Amino acid sequence: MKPRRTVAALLILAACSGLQGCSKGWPAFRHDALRTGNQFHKSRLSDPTKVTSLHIVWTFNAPGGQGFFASPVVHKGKVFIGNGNGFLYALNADTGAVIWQYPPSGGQALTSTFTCNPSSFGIASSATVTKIGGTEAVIFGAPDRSSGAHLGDGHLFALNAQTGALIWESPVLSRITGNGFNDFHEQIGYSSPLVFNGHVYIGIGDHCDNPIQNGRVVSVQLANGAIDPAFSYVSTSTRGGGVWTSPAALDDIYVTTGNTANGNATQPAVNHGLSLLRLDRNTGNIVWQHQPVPYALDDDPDWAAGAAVMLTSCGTLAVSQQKDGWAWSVETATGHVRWGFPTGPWVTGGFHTGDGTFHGDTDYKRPGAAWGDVYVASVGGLQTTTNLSAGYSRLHALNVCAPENRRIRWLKDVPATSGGFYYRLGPPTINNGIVFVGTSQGHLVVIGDPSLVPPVGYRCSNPAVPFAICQILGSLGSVVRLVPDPAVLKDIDLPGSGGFFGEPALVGDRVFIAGVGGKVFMLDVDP
Amino acid sequence: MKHGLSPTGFLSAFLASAFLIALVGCENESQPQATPLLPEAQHDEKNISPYTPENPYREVRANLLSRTVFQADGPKGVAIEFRDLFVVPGKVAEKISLPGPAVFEVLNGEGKFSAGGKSRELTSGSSVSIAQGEEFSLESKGETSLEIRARLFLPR
Repeated sequence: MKPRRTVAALLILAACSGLQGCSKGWPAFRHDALRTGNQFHKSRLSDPTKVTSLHIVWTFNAPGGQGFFASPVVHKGKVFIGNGNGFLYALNADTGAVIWQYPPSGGQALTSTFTCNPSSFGIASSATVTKIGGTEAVIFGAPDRSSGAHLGDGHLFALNAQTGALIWESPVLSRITGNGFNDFHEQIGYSSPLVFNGHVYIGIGDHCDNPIQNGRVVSVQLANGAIDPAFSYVSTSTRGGGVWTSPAALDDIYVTTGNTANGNATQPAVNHGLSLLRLDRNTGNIVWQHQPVPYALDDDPDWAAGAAVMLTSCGTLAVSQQKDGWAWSVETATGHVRWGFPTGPWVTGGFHTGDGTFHGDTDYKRPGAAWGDVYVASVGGLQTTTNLSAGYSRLHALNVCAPENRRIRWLKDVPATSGGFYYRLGPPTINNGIVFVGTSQGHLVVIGDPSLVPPVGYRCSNPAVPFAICQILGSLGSVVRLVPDPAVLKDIDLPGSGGFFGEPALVGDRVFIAGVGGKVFMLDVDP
Repeated sequence: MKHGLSPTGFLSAFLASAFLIALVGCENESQPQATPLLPEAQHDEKNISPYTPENPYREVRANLLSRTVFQADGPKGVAIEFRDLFVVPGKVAEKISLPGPAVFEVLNGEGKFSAGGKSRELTSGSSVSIAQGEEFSLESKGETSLEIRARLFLPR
């Protein structure tokens, strides 16, 4: 690119990055458009000696039994979060009191008639705070029975952040026309709107595979919610490749897609399912695509975690993982795969029939957190091919720029009250090396990177290999080597949470987290 | 060779920094920052984590680890056992035999299987069978371990 064009592009992008950029708040899902889950500003939460005093200050109970599957966003003293009951709440961040709700009391809840998993009942889309013509606004996706066949088509809503008044509602973005095989039953579901480039981008998919819908990304004008006809992305020529994650952005749009095989007798002629993609921000055209699992091995290993765009010392990388447990790092400029984890012949050529790998509907679904050159996530790790489910309760911190045998920075089996197969972790978030994660058993666990807090000891990067043998292997330069087991700084039970699906939002000295049991919690540390 | 930025280059760098500040937030994050690697464990590291594997491998021969992951009664007179074998990266495991016929499936890594004077290359996904009591050796090639799931049919 010529210098003048580079300068112009940078100016445009800087202008368009908007409110989400430098925020001490938590204005978007994963904090910002990069979807890093990283709070840059230091606070007592990033002080290992202070975060131990974390305690509950208030809880908010939402009515109804559907719970919170969206995550809270926090901006200028307000917490915004949608519930499965179909209402979005603005809460006082100091007290938990309801400031307003949308729809207002007496209004038709934003729920769908086409329900299956928790993404489909009401509002599962985490909100985004931005400005529309100088007015601070909250944007989220939700079903609305007032349009189409009145079954709960998906729309984007923009509300005045101060009053809850509707600024605009988009046209129908995801269609529900009935229950038949060829009816549309698209949803916005968990996809959180991305504000970027003067537009709002949202993923469209299906959340029950009955059968899968054709994945799409839709762009609407930030100013008025009108669909931008110049932007078009569709995953396949038939059905599949649902975008049920949240788009990320830097220079362009980064999205991940779901499976294609479920509902297609043969591979569609056009198949961008099971992919990590860079899309042109103006047209939706594919700039590059990383699709390591071919159709023949598609047993539903969606890219259920959206991409995190990492600005690292070794370049800008899009990092994510599939449900099958493999994590991938792709250079954003070229689409070149920097690494796959765990490594193997598939890093250069992808997976293929007969290679002994399995790519199914396993549970590595939550996005990871990015901190400098470190990516923290729940992934299969070195047991991906031998004991896949073992990593569900484990966080890996990966050095994204390091040589392969130093890929694992640390490993932590997050404490469980009772353990078991169904113990899961929510999306981790991070503040200057202090990691926060909610568990399916209703705990908030805080972990300190060993650069800040001495680890409790060393353990093997392959959890099945005993310490002594691992020590020898590490001395030989193997990927199987001793790595730190970081310290748990706080493990706090949040009663009545029902477990956590969403992320902890880190704002100042406070943590905001919402449970599937219908409670929002605010925690603070002592002065 | 001239060093330093041209005016245009300087402007581009300045604007790039401004862009990153605007996008990701904050002054201390205006440039991509390396997160230093953690120090490696000592060669004689004594600080052992309290984490204990539920079903760890144990060393059964030089460069060969093993663990049983599944056992069940099979057809009449036979028990079935799934046993994982782990060959140290870049090493040849000492020869071993098994108490029953077995089918090996490579779960991870690449290497070589040798028995009865014949050898066969192994890659992830490949399989090979071995007779009861027949000695064999396994070699791991490359940086990663060779990990094999052996399905044994044990006489009862």
